[in-house]
Formats: sequence, structure tokens, C-alpha cells
Amino acid sequence: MNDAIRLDGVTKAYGGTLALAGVTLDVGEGITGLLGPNGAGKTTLMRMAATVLAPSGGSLRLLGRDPRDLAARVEIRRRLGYMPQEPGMHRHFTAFEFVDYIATLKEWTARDGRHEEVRRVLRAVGLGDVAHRRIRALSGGMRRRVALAQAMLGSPELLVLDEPTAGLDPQQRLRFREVVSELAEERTVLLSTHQTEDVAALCRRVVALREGSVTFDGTPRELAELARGHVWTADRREGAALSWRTGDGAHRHIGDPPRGARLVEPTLEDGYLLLLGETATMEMAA
Amino acid sequence: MSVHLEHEWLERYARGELDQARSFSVEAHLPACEPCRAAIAGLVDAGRLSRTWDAIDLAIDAPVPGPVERLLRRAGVPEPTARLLALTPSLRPSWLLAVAVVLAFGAVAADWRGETGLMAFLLVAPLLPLAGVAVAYGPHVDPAHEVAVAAPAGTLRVLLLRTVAVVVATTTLAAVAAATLPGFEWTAAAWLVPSLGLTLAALGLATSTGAAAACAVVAATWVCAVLAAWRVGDDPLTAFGSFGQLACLLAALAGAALVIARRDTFETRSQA
Repeated sequence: MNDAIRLDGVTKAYGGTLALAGVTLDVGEGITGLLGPNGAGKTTLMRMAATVLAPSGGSLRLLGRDPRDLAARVEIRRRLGYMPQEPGMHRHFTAFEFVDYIATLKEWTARDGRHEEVRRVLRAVGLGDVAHRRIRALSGGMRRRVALAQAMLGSPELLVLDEPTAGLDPQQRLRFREVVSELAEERTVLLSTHQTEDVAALCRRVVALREGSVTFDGTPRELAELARGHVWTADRREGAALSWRTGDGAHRHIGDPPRGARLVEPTLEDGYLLLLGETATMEMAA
Repeated sequence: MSVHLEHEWLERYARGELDQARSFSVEAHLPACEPCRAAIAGLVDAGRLSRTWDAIDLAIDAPVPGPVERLLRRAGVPEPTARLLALTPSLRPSWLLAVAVVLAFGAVAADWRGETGLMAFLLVAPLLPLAGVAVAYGPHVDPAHEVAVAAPAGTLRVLLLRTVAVVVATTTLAAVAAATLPGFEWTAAAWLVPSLGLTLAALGLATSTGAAAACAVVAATWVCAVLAAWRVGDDPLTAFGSFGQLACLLAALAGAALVIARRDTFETRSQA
């Protein structure tokens, strides 16, 4: 299968601010995680992949088509599912009504078939029993699943999920991972997240963005390996800029070792924090 | 009493082959008879039962069409289009009632204050469809707009669909109000071309600024132009003469040309 998303030197400028600074990236089958701090350009890239934002420069192809062309863009949208970072919903709608509304926009014109499909996706995300409940009466996690359900309508070839696990509790995230990992069979899922645990649990590939540029592109294991030989545990905080006290009272250090420190096995989060460097320090300070 | 249903009846009922009258008898009997319920339980095909439950579930969960959607469907509008139109804020009964009230006040003013009153009616009538278009579609009225933009139905198609529906509904109300104006002949219809001009000009401008802002700019320009023409021509109806009508027609053509030329901007700019 060809890569569903192909970016070649893609830029995006908002006035004088460059959100994407020449990104070259191919995304194929399976789940690809997009990591990056706030303002790294993740959402800009996700919105481009969802055809709602056009690049300022460079070449973008989605599902083998050029989204600048109107007919091609419509065809891409027929095969695309998109869950935005802040999925707005009509709160007075029931979950069924909301997904049905989106299905109507997705050209499901035959009423019976559309209703069957709406029910299928709501059941797939575990909301079959609350389909009749109004959105305003659903918990935050349930609303996220409603948003995921609408993205699944028509079993799209390309799924663009922008921070889908934000605000979910561990149980809800586990449920979400189950659904997404099933979805990823034979299709492309681009998943933007702040949660390195999600990337470790779900993704076959991880791309890190920083200030609009790709700073890492590899497997989750390779990202963790970046930190090998740089992650330490010690009895006190000393030296390293990236350091925190863990639950058992020891201090975990990333970077130069303090006195008496012992090397430990790196995690994906360690690799990501090392990659972020000064940005991570600022985020931790904040 | 220990009268039970014949086993053959139960079998035929379970297969869906029993005639209607006997089916009613079975259905009346079963809730009160435990042995017959137990007897039929083993006869019902699990697949058929599951399909029946699914159909009941679906019937409960399926959206119930509101009055606007039912009206549109009765008028022959296809179901998906009627659904999209029924969600238009400016097609809600409350909005249309407000429009009717404004027009009624305009008509009363025209009757009471002569030419100045008529000018007020002609000034306001084209603004009503414009206001309707401003709240017909976009991120300010549709919280799911970002998702809607990424759907194949297309922002422009939905916007145009809703615009046409709003203009038709509002224009019909304005036409009824205008018909009640006493003795002003053709002048009473002088709001029609401005309505079209303002609406299309706003859509054209929306390719650059978004629908709500475009409608606000066009509305402000219209009010200023009518008042300025009154001052210059020393007649409250100056703006509605042949020159004003021609200007509105040109604005309509320019707006339509802009929409066609820049239709792509609706589809990639989620704030459209």
C-alpha cells in the first residue's frame, strides 16, 4: 500500500509565524504517533492531514491525491476520519443524533443504512447503551468516544486523531487504546498526543516535532534508545537539568550523572525528554 | 384457570407465520401465562430475536424529526437535505417569528409614517435574509464545524443550501408584509433586488472574511448607503430608485462571481 500521507518540504505560516518549517514525512499503514510540546506544529500538521488547512508551501499528498484539487479533496474526505483536538458538539443532541448529523455530512444519504452505521460505530466505542443520552449528560471520556465514533464512520482508510486521549482517565485511555489498535489493522492512523504512554502502547512509529520541524522519526524503541546511557537514579538531586523525585524517594536524572548515580533502563519518555532538551526543562519549570 | 395456547400456534407465532388476529390473541395471553412463555422461549429463533431487538433499539435511538424537518420533507425535500436544513438556526420557528414581527412593525411604520416609514421597511427587509445567512452556518453557530469542514458534503454546498432556504423563507415573509402596504405600488417591492444583492455580496465577501463578518460589513454599508442617498437626494426613497436597484444588481453579480472564483476558500478554511 502507498503511503497515505506524504509531505515534502511542507511549510505553514500564520502571518509572520512559521508553524511548520519545511516538513518532509511519509506516513503509511499502522499507527504513527506525533509527539511534540505545545506550539510544535502538531495540530497544524493534523489539520492539513484532515484537509481543513492548506499548506503555505511544499507538496502535500493524501491517499495518493493532491488536496488542492477540489474533486481530489472530496475523494480524500470520503476516505478520511478526523477527530479534532477540541471536538465541538451540539450538546442538546443525543450521541446518536450527533453522529447521525456527521454521517449526513459524510454523504450517508440512505436513512436505514446510515442509522445502522451510526449504531455500529457507537457500539465499537462502547457507547451502544447510551446512544439515546444527550451529549451534555455524558462524561468527558464518553464525549471523546463519541468524537472517535464519528471519525470511524464508513471505516475510513485514513484516521487523523488529534490528542484523542487528552483528559481521559487511565481506564478510559485503556478502552481507547483497544478501539484504536483494532482500527489500525489495514489502515493508516495518525495520532497526535502528549502522552508518551500512548505512543509506547500503540504506535509502530513515532515522529517528534519541535518548532515546526521533525526532530525524530523512528520506532518507539529507537526513541527510548536515544536516552540509553543518559538516565540515572540517585539519592539526591544534583547537576542534571532534567531531574525529578520519584515515588520511592530516589531522584531520576536525564543527562549528566550526579555523584553516586546508577544507570537505569531508559523509557520512551526519557528519550523524548532528552530530545526536547531545553524545551523540556522549561515545560517542567512551568 | 389453566387454558394454554396450542403448541402449533406458538410454533407458527415464533416463526412469524400466524395470522394477525391469532397473533393478537397470543400476545394478549403470553404476559399472564408463565408456562406458555416458557414454551415459546425455546421456539424463537435467536437470530430473529436479535434482529427484532436491534430494530427496536434503532427505532428508540433514531432522531425524531422536528417541525421544520417534517415540513421540509412534506414539501419533497430529501431526508438528508431536510436534516441539514433543519439544523439552521435561522430556519427555527422562533427566528422566523422574530422576522415576521420585525416586518409587521415595518409595515405598520410604512402605513403610519408615509414615505419615511416605507423607507424604514425597505431598509430593514433586505437586512433580514442577511442576518439569517450570518447565522446559517459556520464555526460561530456549529460547534462541530471543524469536523464538518473535513466531511465530503463541503462547506460551500451546505452554506449555499442553507442560504437558499433562509432567503426563500425570509423573502416569502417579506413579500407577505409588502403586500399589506397600502398604495405604494412597485415601490413596495423595491427591497427584493437589494435583498439578493446584499446576500450575494456578503457570500462573496465571506470568501475573505468569514460569513458573519461579511454580513456585518455588508449590512453596515447598506444602512450608510441608504441614509447617505436620502441626504443627497433629499428623498427617503432615493436609494431604492433605478440607480440603487442597478447598484444592488451589480453587487449581486460581483458577489456571485467572487463565490465561484474563490469557492475553494470555503473548503480549506474552517472559519469560513
